[in-house]
Amino acid sequence: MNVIELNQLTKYYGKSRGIEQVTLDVKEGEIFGFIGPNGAGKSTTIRTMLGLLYPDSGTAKIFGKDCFMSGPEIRQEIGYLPSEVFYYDKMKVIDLLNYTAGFFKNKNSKVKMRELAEIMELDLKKRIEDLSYGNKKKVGIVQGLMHSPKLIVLDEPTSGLDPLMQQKFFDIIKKENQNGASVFFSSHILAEVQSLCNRVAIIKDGQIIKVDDIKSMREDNYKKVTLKGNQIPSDQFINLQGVTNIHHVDRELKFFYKGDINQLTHLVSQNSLKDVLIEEPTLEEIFMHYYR
Amino acid sequence: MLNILKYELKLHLKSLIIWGISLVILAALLMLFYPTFGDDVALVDKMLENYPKELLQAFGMGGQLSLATVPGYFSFVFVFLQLMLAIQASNYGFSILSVEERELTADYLMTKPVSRSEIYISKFLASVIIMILSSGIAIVASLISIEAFRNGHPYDQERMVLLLLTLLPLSLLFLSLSLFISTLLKKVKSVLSLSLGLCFGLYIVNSVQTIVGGKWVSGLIPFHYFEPNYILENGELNTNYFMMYFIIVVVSIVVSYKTYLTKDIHSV
Repeated sequence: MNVIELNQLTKYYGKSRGIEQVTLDVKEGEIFGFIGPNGAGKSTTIRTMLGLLYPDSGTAKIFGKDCFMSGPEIRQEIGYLPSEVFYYDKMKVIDLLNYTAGFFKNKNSKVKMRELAEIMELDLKKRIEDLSYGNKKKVGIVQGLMHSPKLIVLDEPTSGLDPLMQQKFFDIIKKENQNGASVFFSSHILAEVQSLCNRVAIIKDGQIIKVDDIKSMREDNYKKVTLKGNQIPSDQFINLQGVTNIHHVDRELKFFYKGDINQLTHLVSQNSLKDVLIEEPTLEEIFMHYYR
Repeated sequence: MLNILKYELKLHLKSLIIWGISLVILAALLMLFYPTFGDDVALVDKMLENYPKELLQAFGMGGQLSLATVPGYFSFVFVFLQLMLAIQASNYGFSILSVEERELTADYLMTKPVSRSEIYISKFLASVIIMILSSGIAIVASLISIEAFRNGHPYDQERMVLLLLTLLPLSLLFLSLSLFISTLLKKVKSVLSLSLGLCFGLYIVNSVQTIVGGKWVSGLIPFHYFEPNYILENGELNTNYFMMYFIIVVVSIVVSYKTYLTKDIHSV
């Protein structure tokens, strides 16, 4: 079953582009990565899914229900953590979290709130305005997860968290996922996506340019090839079908290769080289490849 | 919905206390000066005769009632109560919806399982409740201070109560109107300057209109709908303005509601 189904979702801000014909689906139980640089349309997609923005065309469904017709019902089971968090400054953390619990039907929210606050080392008695940015972010995590949502939507969630807290946060997300929650994880930090997600969509200039398994994206398609030698016949390699992203510096030739590996090894064997490296590209390198 | 309503009421409680105390002080101060006028009827009337009629009208002293009588004096000072409640109501109207966007808490609230319709209704209802309480305080405080300072001068209590009761519909009008304006504006930067601008602006237009005249303009000025001289002289509301009042309130509420329901909430 699909938890999220976006179909041809389009949103313009006046004349400027937000997202164009975004189509993707997230399956139940998976951690879905959504990557792209700032301004690519990640937040616009998420905000449209959550009913903060109204699309110009296309449909957005969560749990099989329309995001705009059944917004409140859907959001009963969504936990959202934005990149920038803002809460009512004059409130105490505990009051804000109790207020939050009041919106949800889940009766265990308050118990889980205490558990999460303890894990995140969050002082519930402080006023929001007295919290550091990192601590406000912790409030965000607690208020987003306290009702044990079936879908967790994260929009660049780790900014402002120190590495130790980031790790704790990822552990919590993994645990929620093991307990059945699906996760939609938007980020431009590829290492995070790589370590956490099952599938990933890449968005560029408001359009989805690739949706694939992280594994197949890394393994099946591209190999990163590095050749070292005094006289590399670069033309021969560059002309090989399936070679892209060529970097030729001094005695080193680097490129991505997607094609028959025997052709490549045949060519390699015909030349005198000092070293050959054929490796899996990192997600970052794949990402840069799509962004050229 | 109850969750937001409770939160909003709690939020406004402090402001209600401050406005309530101010209204009590104002009501007392306004009547405190009455004995000076009431005890020397002839002198006051003679003094006022020297002023041009238009000027007296502009300051609410153009009616048949003498400034030396309780109703005459009160209809002159009543505008201060009207202004105060109008400003309080406009403050809420300009802020209740816009505050979430200004302080960037809209993301928090609107991603919770509540519809925008529930948010709008809860916030509006909370403001209405606060304005009922504020108007109630103003009415009771005014009646007590009239009794305390009238120095035995007579007045028609029923008519006075009727006049004071109009403070509530006036507040509701300013609440709806400012809410309407706030949803039309791209961003509400300063609530107080907008509410002071709206209330004093309309008050000045009201004063100018009484001098210059122009009946169609008077239909657009809320202060005119609840003109104290008319109510105290006739013992009834001026029904000519009922329609206009309802049009302004209903259109303001309907348009602001519809606008709010379909508004895009942009990220930081």
